[in-house]
Amino acid sequence: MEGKNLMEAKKVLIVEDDKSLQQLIKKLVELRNATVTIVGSGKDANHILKEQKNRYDLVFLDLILPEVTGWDILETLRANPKTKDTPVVIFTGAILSGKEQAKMLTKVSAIVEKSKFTLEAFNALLDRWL
Amino acid sequence: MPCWIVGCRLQTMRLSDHTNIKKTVVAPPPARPPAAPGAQLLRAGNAIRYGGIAGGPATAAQKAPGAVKITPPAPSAKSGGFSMSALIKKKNITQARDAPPVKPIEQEPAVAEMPAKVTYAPVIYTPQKTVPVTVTPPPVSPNRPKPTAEIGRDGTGAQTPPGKTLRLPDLMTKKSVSPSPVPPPNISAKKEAVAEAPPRIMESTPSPTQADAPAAANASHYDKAPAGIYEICRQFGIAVPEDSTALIEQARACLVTVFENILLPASEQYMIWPMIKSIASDLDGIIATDATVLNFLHRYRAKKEKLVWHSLYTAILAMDLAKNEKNLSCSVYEIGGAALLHDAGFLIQTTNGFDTNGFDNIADKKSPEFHKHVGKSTELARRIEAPDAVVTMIAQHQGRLDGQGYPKNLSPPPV
Repeated sequence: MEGKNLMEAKKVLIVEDDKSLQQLIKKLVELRNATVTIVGSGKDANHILKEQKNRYDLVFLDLILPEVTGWDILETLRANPKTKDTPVVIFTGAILSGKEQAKMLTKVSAIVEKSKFTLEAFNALLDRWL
Repeated sequence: MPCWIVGCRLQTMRLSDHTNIKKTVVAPPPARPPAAPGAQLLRAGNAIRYGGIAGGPATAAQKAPGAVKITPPAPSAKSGGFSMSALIKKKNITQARDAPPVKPIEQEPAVAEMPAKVTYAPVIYTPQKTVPVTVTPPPVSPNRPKPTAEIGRDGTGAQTPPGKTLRLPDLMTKKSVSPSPVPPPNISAKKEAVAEAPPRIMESTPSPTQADAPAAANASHYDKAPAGIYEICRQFGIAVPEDSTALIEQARACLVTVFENILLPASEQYMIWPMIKSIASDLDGIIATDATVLNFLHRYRAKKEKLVWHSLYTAILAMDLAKNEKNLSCSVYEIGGAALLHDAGFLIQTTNGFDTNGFDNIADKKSPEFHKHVGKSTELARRIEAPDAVVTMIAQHQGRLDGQGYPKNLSPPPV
């Protein structure tokens, strides 16, 4: 039974509106035997999170999204008892100051800055959570 | 929304993004090798900051990043999503047939993550007309700069030939083309160069340097175009947004086609609004990835097709401003679409038939005749079944805060 659980694929939700980056994260995550769900807008993300059909082991969240921002989705996640502890990795193109990063890190598990993205760093992050 | 995050996103959403939520279950990869001993987790580079929230992530000693090695796969021949603007035939731009063949990615098992050197096979677009359009990928660079390009100052580069109008039925039958004119990279990785990038230790608390950094609110949100991450996408065979030059030209050509078809009978106009949204999507992508787009537009502002360029300008500015607003009652794309169409009424006011110079044909900008374009534009927006918000924006686009705008002397609602 325990072995079966160990083999069970982890579920990852990618909330990102950039198709290229969607596919990049998906490829990297899938290499770790994870099941990937991709949504391209904040509205879709809210919808899928409120359905609660799946419990996600990790959420990649872009901050700037059409219609509903990543901040709103984060609030939705944290407000729900079932998802309040879900690890969330912010995947952002924003330039964050040190204070902003520190403040954000009280609510999320990690921040990935698109402008400084490296495969090495991202693999390390995936090793940590998947 | 904090203002420092405004406009920083990569926005390449296309029509297909609005429709589906994709779910993919993949086959398990080969078994991972045992984790290497040692706490290497935090040596991952300077891009990631770890927080203390949730999930109980493994400690550094439990897992090591070197355990899984990822090698970029060979680039696929076709990738990327459907784009309405890709339906537009790129006139006068053809890729040279004698371009050197693209070599497959060379894989070196020991160099797992970041290929050190990326070279691009040169691509030359051979114009069929008088105005050259040349896109030359730059030499190797970690942050690949924008390709240089030349478009005729008169804006005639690659425009639709006179007498040959793309009609909607033609567009409907065209197959989607590969969105990116940039070929897959020719990659040769070198171990030494990879070793030159020393990883930094990640800290969950900001260093003094970070804390002293200027607030992001004061920084341009275009400071960091994510060229690096797109390079990695290319290495995995993932299509990335076209360079801004090609996108601008594509948007211009698409908008010309829209203007040419917007006067057709209503039965053929069902594709106009999706095309407008596609143009807005492409422009949004340019805004997010090219800090110099407005300079570019200013530099190449055409003496011809003034209505087209004015519409593109307005759309880019309006969409960029709209990103600063959190509680919009409509989408950014609708705002962009309204901006693209706001002066389309001039198309049916001109006496010489279709003329993309638009407002230049009416000398007196304060004349009632000139003011009629608002009503005409609104009428066109209704004909193509644009969303109500778009129709309203077009109808009110000449309004002023002091209530002196036209046609209805509208006043802004009380705050």
